[in-house]
Amino acid sequence: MPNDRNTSELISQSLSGQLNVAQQTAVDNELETNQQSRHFARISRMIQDSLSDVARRSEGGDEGIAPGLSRESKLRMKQSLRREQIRMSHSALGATVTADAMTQSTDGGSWGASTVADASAEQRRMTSRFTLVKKIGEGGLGSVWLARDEMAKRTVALKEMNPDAAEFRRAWERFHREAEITAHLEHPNIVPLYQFGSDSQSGQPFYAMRFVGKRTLVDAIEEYHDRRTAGVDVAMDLHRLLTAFIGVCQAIAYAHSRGVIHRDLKPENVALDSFGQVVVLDWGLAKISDEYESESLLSVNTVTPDSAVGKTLAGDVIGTPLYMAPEQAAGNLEDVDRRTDVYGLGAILFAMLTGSALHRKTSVEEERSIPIAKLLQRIATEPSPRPRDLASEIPADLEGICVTATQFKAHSRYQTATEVSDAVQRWMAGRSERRQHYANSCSEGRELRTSMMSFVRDLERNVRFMSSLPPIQGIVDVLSGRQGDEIATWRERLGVIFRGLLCTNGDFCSVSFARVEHDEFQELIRIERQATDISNVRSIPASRLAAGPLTDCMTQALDSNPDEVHVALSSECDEDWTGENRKPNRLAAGVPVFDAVTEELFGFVRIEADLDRLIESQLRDRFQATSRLFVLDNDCRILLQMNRDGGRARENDGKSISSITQCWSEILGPLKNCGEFIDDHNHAVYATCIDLVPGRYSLALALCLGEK
Amino acid sequence: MSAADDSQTVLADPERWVDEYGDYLYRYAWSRLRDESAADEVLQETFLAGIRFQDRFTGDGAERAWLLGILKRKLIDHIRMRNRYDRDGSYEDTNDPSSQLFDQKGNWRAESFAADTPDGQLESKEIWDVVKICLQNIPKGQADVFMLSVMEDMDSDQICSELGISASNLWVRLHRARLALAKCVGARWFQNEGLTQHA
Repeated sequence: MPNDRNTSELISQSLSGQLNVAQQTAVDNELETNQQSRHFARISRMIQDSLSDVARRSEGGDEGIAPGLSRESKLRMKQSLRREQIRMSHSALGATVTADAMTQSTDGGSWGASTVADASAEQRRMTSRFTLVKKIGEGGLGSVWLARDEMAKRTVALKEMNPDAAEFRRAWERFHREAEITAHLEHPNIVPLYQFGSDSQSGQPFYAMRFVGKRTLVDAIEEYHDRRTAGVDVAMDLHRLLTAFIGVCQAIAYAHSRGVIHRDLKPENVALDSFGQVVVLDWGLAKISDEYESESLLSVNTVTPDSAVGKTLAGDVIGTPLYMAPEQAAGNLEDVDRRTDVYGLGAILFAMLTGSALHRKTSVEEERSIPIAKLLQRIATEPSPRPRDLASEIPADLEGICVTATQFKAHSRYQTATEVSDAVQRWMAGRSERRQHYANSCSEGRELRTSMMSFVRDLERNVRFMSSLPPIQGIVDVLSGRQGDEIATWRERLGVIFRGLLCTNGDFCSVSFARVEHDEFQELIRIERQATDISNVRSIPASRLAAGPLTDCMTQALDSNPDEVHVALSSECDEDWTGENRKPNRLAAGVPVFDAVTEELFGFVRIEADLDRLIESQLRDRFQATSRLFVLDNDCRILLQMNRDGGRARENDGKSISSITQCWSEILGPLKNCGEFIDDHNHAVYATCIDLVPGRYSLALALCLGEK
Repeated sequence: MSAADDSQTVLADPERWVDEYGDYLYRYAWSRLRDESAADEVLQETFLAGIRFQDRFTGDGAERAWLLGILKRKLIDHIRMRNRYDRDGSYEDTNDPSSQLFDQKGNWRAESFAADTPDGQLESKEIWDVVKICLQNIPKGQADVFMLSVMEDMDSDQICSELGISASNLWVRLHRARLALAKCVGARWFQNEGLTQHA
């Protein structure tokens, strides 16, 4: 038993006369019992009869079915017919000024036997000069052919209007205007038009232009991102892309100077020839000065499939949705001006940097494309995405150019294409210089690291050597009661050696020997450099020698095996190193001393070095490229900050580096894993590690390039 | 006789076409397209084609009928073009009135049609006044095939061939058009009736 829906389908077929007798009987029976079906059938019959009646009446000339043609339409139509009549008259008289009408060639023609493609269209040739070779592209408005200019003996691109589009008056207008505008613009980055003409058979227009190949910016962008993803060095690829982009900017700036606005800028409309020449194509939507263009060839509300977001629209909404400026998406044609093209340039730059169309992400919701009307509404109401939302490695200042060009409000964008071009050129020039600065800064950082590591190893060697001196064991023997000598004698001998060490190593600030008993230390001798007068090296009197509980780093030094040196920051040894009275940053190298007879632990020898002075001396005359240098402890706290212009800066001492820069978290990972961080994208920071206790304690150096 | 000679004969006064046949052809186009600018455009294309192909007019029939022949061709071309780009005319569209007319079991909803149907004795013009509004309110892809089938009396093979659609697509469109029109006309008719009686 069919349900009502099935019955309604049968009723429809019945009205179209498609049912056999049995089916019709079944429908008739159903209609007797089902009132709703009867209503549907009856209304449908009335509608059908009414339409049939109107069809008959309209064919018979009944004036009651609709008003007639308006007076304005009649006048306009007459003008149009008059123009066409004149054009046809010229054609009939053979006065084809262009002398390039297309004709059917059935006899092979007199232009030689050049092979042409298959179908009849492909067999057409220009009796005057062009031979069509093959179709190389097709859009909504026209097809582009590779053609041979037999007169000039050169390959050209020939664009002709598609037969379907030729049915529409506005398509003709658009095609003509495209040719006119292209011919109007003479610029190295705009495709030159060679000839404009029309087919003598169909009257459809065509124009011939320079053949620039099939490669577009889309291909170049894809290649760049493929290589980038594969880990290839793409610095030169980006440079080439940006150079092409500048060419596009200059072409658009020129067009603007001639009162032409492109309105459909996208990578597909930029051709790249084999020699890197950039050519802006497709001026079919271009607007000349204040020409008003509100009527639509294809209104977005009625003719645009949702799959057309990457295609050009020509209506109240003009352009390509994926690259469209907000004022275009809103259909505010009166607001479209040269800044709309600036937005288009920004959209191209966005595609270059991210490999994605500007509004691609906006066009997708829950992994499905949204309807085009919704996309346009979003573009018209929401800010444009930022390149770094898609690719965080994009240099911030280059992203800034793109963001400025694609500002939602036209007045916030660059005001001219030249400004965009200048900004990119400045960035490229600056990047070259900055790249060199950065390379220098990296060299400085590596040199500093090498020299500091060398210093630490020197420190270790020296403290090891000091611990093996005979006076050390002399003092041990005296204090162990195995010798009756005066300890003062040994102290004096040891003091001479310690003093000599400090005199020959200007960065060492003290050397000491201490005895350890019951978790307390007692210095036996200490030679130190005066903090305020580094040339003054003095021996500390026995009454002023330090004593007290062992610090952590003393304990760690004592826990080491013979000749094993423990190097640490003095801050590790002090309880309150961040206090107001904290001591200068010092590196302390300690080595345990054992009784040579009993082999029991006796004490330690320790050398301290002034880290601040060490860094300053290392950087002297070598700190050219880097603007700021930070030395960080194992917990990323700032031990020392040096500014190129201001020297030692103390305002950030003890602070976490994260508190003054947000990018440190990005740096820390590579630094810990690789021992080095190289900022390939922004060229702003170089960081490296100095291992004091390998794998356990290290310092970090961060060199910031800063602003130029 | 050369084409140029022919053309000089036929080109005598094409503007006369506008005065003599403009209204007639426009009404014909408007009744099929239900859109002033589309009818205007198709008419202009018809006249332009008439000029371009004037040599094909043998003079055996009436000039109006010849132009009407061109107009009918242009109408189909226009519908094909707007069908190609008209998303709401696609087979997979969501403009199916069935959900409003049938319940989940496929039976008529109670409110599908008014309790009564328009009087069968009504004048065709009165129904046309309502139908033409309803035709403008349903998807063009459905209205166009319905019009071609009913007004242009084209069979299904012709329509499928001209519009490049499948037979099943055509039947779906036709049926949806009938359902939507029936609902719209029924509702509007009694709405207007009510207004008239109230007045």
